[in-house]
Amino acid sequence: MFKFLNPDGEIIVLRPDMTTPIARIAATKLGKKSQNLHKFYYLNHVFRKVANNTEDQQEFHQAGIELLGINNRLADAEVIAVAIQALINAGLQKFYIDIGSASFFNSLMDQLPLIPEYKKELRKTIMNKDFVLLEKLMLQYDMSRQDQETILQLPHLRGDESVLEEAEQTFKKNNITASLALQEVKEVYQYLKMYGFERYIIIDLGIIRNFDYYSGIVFEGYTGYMGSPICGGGRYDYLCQKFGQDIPSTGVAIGIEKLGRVLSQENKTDKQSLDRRKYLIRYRKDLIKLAFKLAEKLRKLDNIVELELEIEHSEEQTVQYALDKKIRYLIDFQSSDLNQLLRYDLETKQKEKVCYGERE
Amino acid sequence: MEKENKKIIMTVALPSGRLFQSIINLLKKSGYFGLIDYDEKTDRRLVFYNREETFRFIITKPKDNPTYVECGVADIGIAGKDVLLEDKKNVYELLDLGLGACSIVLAATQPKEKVRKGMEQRLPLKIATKYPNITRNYCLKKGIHGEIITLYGSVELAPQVGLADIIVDLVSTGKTLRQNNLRVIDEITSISARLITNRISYKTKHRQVHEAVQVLKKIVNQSDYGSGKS
Repeated sequence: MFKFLNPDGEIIVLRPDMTTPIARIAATKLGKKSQNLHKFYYLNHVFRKVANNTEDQQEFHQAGIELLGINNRLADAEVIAVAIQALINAGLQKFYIDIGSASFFNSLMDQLPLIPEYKKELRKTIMNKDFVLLEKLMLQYDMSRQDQETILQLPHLRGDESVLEEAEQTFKKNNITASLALQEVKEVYQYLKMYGFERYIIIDLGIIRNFDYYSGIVFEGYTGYMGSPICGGGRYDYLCQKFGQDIPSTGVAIGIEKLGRVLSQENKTDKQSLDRRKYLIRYRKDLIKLAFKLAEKLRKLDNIVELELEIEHSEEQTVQYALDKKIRYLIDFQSSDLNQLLRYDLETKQKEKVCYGERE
Repeated sequence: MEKENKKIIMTVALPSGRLFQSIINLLKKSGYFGLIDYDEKTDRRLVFYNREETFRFIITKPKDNPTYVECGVADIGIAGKDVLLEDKKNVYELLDLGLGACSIVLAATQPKEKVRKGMEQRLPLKIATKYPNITRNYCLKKGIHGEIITLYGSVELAPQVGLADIIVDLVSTGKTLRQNNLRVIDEITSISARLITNRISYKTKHRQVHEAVQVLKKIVNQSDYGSGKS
């Protein structure tokens, strides 16, 4: 985090996420209504210290939603479904969402007969997936064979629905909290199936998210093109409490820069088609006034219209420009009659006559 | 890229330099990575495949290895713990391969007692090192008032010509230190080569990564392992 001192000597930070400020506002500004159901969305900058020499910037954008005032699996599933739909709408073709549970992991940690400092160290090590240090610590803390196996098994509890059954067999006898957490994951999975999204979903009980406020269902989305998740979120029922109100909540954030990078990677491998909303108008110099008028008309019909600014360009150069900008239609304005224009479709290479004149 | 249509199980990033040959030997011995034909002496390829074309290998500078793994162009890699500590990349450490075992130490030309006393009195020290981040963390932990001078190699030279009071550097046998009149004041941490992966390969290629860890672990745990150490 980026920390500063304000003139009163208090520590202030640049927000590392939007969830915490939203929780604070919900808990302190909504008054009596704070217990109602609330939905928030945002698209904003956040600031995090990232390692040098990576593509990631320390200031980046997140788009996200928060669903406050309700604690059930339908709400958990809805937030995940919105995230999936958002990624689809953004044009992403291949991605996965891993679903796990923070309370599942917490319940396993709670059961370990270790002092709090050791647990904290162990938690951090498991989160960083530093297996070399993990083995050393487990020896040092003199943990039982069974506890060691439980922890080492965690990362492998990953796959389709059957993983839940497998885990259920292990934990139903001796850990009720873990067993309940597994039930929750199962229920969310069932809802997401009904949304028709199961092909995007993988169960991963080894997920441990970086923020320690998560308390229930957690998830993260990723693609094969990047070494870290492009979106993530989950349930955080005890965060608002820290600001004075008990409000169960869940949410998701999508990293915009990361999404952009992944999309351009996908586009490199898939040939992208021209945008059929995009027009470029080329005109004879004395017809410029009519060209302006036509551009305005097309824009009102919800198109994106460019005028050729480099009027000395040959037709060939104009076509090349259009292709570079993924513009599909080229209108060549060589006559003052708006009903006698030719529209060149750069996708099909067809020229057709179009009428943009006033209707009688 | 021309072999992209072939089924590549994983891309493995190998560090060039002094550990390269022992790593190749380790991979060959494991049998998991198929038949590897690569002769360090004559080969100049930076990308090559096993004979079955099921694994792709890329050769990186040792310090760049975690970068290739972190951003996902390689699924697994092999990096020294010194590089991992210094650059703090977001990678998972899967296995201690035990290769290239050595230490990062604090060393000085002056007698141990004198340096220790200076450190206790919070006297400002000039420290030359290739590892500014590790050094900074060490100074913070020990309360040493240090000015860090970053060098790119032959750090042992700095205290002899008065550029620095002490150094933080990698030591394996201690021969270089002795020949340059340096004594170890403190051992900061021990170092060896680690098998690493990134967050996403750990998910998407979980089975393959796990298999690789298991086969390599078996060799590393063998009692005669290390006799062929570099």
